[in-house]
Amino acid sequence: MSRHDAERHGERLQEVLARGDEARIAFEGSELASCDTCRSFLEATMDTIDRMDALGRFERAERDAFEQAKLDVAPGSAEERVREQVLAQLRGRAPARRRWAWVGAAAAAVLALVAALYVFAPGDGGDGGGGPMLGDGFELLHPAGAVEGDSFGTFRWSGALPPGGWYKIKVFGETEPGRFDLLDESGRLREPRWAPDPTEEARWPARIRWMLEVYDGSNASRGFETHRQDAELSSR
Amino acid sequence: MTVDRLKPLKPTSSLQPSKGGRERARHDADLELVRGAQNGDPAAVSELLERTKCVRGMLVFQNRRLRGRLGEEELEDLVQSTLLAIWRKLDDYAGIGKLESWLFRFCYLETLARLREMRRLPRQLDDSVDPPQPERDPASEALDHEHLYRVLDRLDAPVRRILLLKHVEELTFDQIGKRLDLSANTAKTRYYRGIAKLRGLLASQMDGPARGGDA
Ligand SMILES: [Zn+2]
Repeated sequence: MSRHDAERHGERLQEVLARGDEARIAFEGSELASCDTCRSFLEATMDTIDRMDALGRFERAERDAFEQAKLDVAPGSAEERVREQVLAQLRGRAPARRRWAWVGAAAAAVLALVAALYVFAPGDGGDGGGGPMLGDGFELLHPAGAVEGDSFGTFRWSGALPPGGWYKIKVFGETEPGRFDLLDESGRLREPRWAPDPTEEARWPARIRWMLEVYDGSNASRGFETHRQDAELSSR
Repeated sequence: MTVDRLKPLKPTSSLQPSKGGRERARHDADLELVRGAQNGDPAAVSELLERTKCVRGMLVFQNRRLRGRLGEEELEDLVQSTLLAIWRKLDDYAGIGKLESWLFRFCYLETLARLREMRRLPRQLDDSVDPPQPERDPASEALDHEHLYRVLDRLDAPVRRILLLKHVEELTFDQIGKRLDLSANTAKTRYYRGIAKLRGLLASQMDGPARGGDA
């Protein structure tokens, strides 16, 4: 077994890798073939390249299959709701053409605004210190106030779900003092609890505000009730 | 922004990967459209709303591929949250490929994320101990690649761009160089540096905490 010579072998390895598909063959035919260090480096590199190749093939095959499926799908109410939100944001924009805050937070700002209208309306006492009891029989249990540790844990609330109805949780983060942008939202929930995706949660700021939406069986956004709760992680 | 560019583009834009420079103008136009929308150009916003109408079809497709794990209502909900997420994450579109290619990848990852949230995905790490299945669940393959996509997301954007141009768009180093205003050699050097970084991230993830498929 020959000893690894970092400088010389490094150069030879670059040449070998530059052979692309034939790199493995080139490697076996070179002086590097007897160096364990170089062999494991080549294997790990080629393995990564193989995985990227597989990913490329997968994505192209999926795109082809999608093209061939020729799905003819009519837009539904979701598109219309998103359109309204986006256009509302556009109308509400200051005439000064500064780059929008929604670079990176487009519709989130609209949602925050909508949330503010519903949730932080005057008379709501909406200052974050109001405690979990919010009327209408709905109570936001956790997280609330100071939360120990580096995760908010599973969100929990109580209250009667209308027949055929569902819950949705929206989480807003304090991106600058007093300003909350939408960070995450749940899918449709039938149970009064929700565990956010940990990788998403890791990106949240320490101070969040969350909101419970309750929809009835008609699935439309009319007739829903919103509530909110503030929470802060002690260790983030 | 020219008025000409704002005429409606082909309504059902092809997803076929493009080769080299000829399509570059198209990607640049897509990038300009997206940045225009981000800057609040009403025409660009309106055009982008049109262009993102393909998202529903993409999500319906993904759901079918994954054996219809989402019901009609759940799918409707996914369409809305995906569209909103797209508007939030427009910054991530870098003009590597067509806008529709980016949307397609986006829809794929959103569908998997939603299914994971609903705990409707097979547990990837248990595959080896399960009895061999006559037909592999398409979700398993989708999950293999999802992991790599998420690791790719942790690379710097310029590095990720080169890796995707090479492996997904199948460009040569010469074509990548032209696309990114680099020499072919620089493109190649950066590519191998990118592969080395990716290898490092993949290795560190294998040593790290196990990652469950439905957690
Ligand atoms: Zn060596």
